[in-house]
Amino acid sequence: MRQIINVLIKNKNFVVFISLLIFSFFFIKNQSFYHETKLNSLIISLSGKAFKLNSLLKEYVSLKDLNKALFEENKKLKEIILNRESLEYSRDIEESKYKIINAKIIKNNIKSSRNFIVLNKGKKDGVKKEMGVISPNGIVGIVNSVSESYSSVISVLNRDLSINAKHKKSNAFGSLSWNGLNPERLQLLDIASINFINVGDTIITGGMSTYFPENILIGKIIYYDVTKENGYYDIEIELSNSIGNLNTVYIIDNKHKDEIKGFSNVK
Amino acid sequence: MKLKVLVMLNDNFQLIKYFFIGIIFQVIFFESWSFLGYFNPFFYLIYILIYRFDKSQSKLIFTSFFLGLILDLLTNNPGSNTIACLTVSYLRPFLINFSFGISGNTISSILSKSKIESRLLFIGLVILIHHLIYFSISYFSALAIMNIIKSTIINGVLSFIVLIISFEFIKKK
Repeated sequence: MRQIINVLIKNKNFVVFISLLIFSFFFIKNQSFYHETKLNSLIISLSGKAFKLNSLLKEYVSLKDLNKALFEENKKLKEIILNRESLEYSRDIEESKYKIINAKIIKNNIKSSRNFIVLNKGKKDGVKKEMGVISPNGIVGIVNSVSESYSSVISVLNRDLSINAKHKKSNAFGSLSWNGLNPERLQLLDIASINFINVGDTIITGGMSTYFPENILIGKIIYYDVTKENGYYDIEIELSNSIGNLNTVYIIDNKHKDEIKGFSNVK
Repeated sequence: MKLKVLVMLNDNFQLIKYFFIGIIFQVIFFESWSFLGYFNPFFYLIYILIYRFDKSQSKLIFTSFFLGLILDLLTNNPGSNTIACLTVSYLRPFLINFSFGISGNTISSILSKSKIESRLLFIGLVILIHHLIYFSISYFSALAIMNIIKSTIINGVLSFIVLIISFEFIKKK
């Protein structure tokens, strides 16, 4: 300890310089939106490179599980194709509304109350801000920052994120968020108590936002209670996918997003 | 002993004077004086240049940081002045060593009698490093490299002329 203090005293000018420099960069980040965006891109691309190495090792170790997951997913896709063929499903506008970009997770965190995920796809792959991210088993988050080759996603396990969701049976809409405590449980609010719900009921995306298509699985109700004061349910949901164990995800590009946003901007 | 205290007080008073003169002149005169549209001399560097070589470097780093910060706030800059001033004040002992061939602790200052070419080299280097950092932070993009170089050279020449004239004026006084 004494040695560390001695070294710090010996290099006090350097320590003062570095501390003030770090403060200056924080100042820059807060002062200018342009610099904030640029710095965020730089940070993502640097951390992306650092975590890529770690992810390579993890990827090798988890090859067996990945194979299994891919097999499951293939099975599901095959089922959809077969069902469509048998119904002679025609390609309508709704079908071509979304473009899918597949990506690999290179950094994932579920320990904090505001978690972010870093993906190995960026601007050059067509990823843009505010795109929804899903996995084969459910929703994952929304892209919040993009660099040339990487992107950062606000995970559903982030207290700042709120997603439009609905109760599958009654079609009642609510708002899904996380209270920052248990990474497997999310809270669904704003569902009026006149709707009839049960433990085990499925919750899916509502399709009211431009981030996610309708009917994507979110999870199942494991607990509910009626708040007497306002007549709304307090619902706890168990996520259908375990965010901490994800390897691959799909980024959804809603081609009609700007058009829909244009409407919402009209006063 | 008493004389030493008086000299020290006078020294500090001089520094505070140049600190504020730098800010006031920069904000009132030089920010609005645009040569060819958008080129300004950076007069406030006078504080970093005039700071005695043997005085505490930590103090210089701190005061330069505040000098930059005040200017950034007054001129609505994101933080370019702060980072540029901070870096130049940190690198100053190396620049003194390179230009004058003496260590940063030698009892001397830019106003002392020394070779004119050493003084010009020192002023030039301080201006060059400061301007390069300032414009790199302002543009903050690798694509703007030509603009950064152009602005550094033109503003650098202007700053150089203004600072040399100022030093001659101070010396005569």
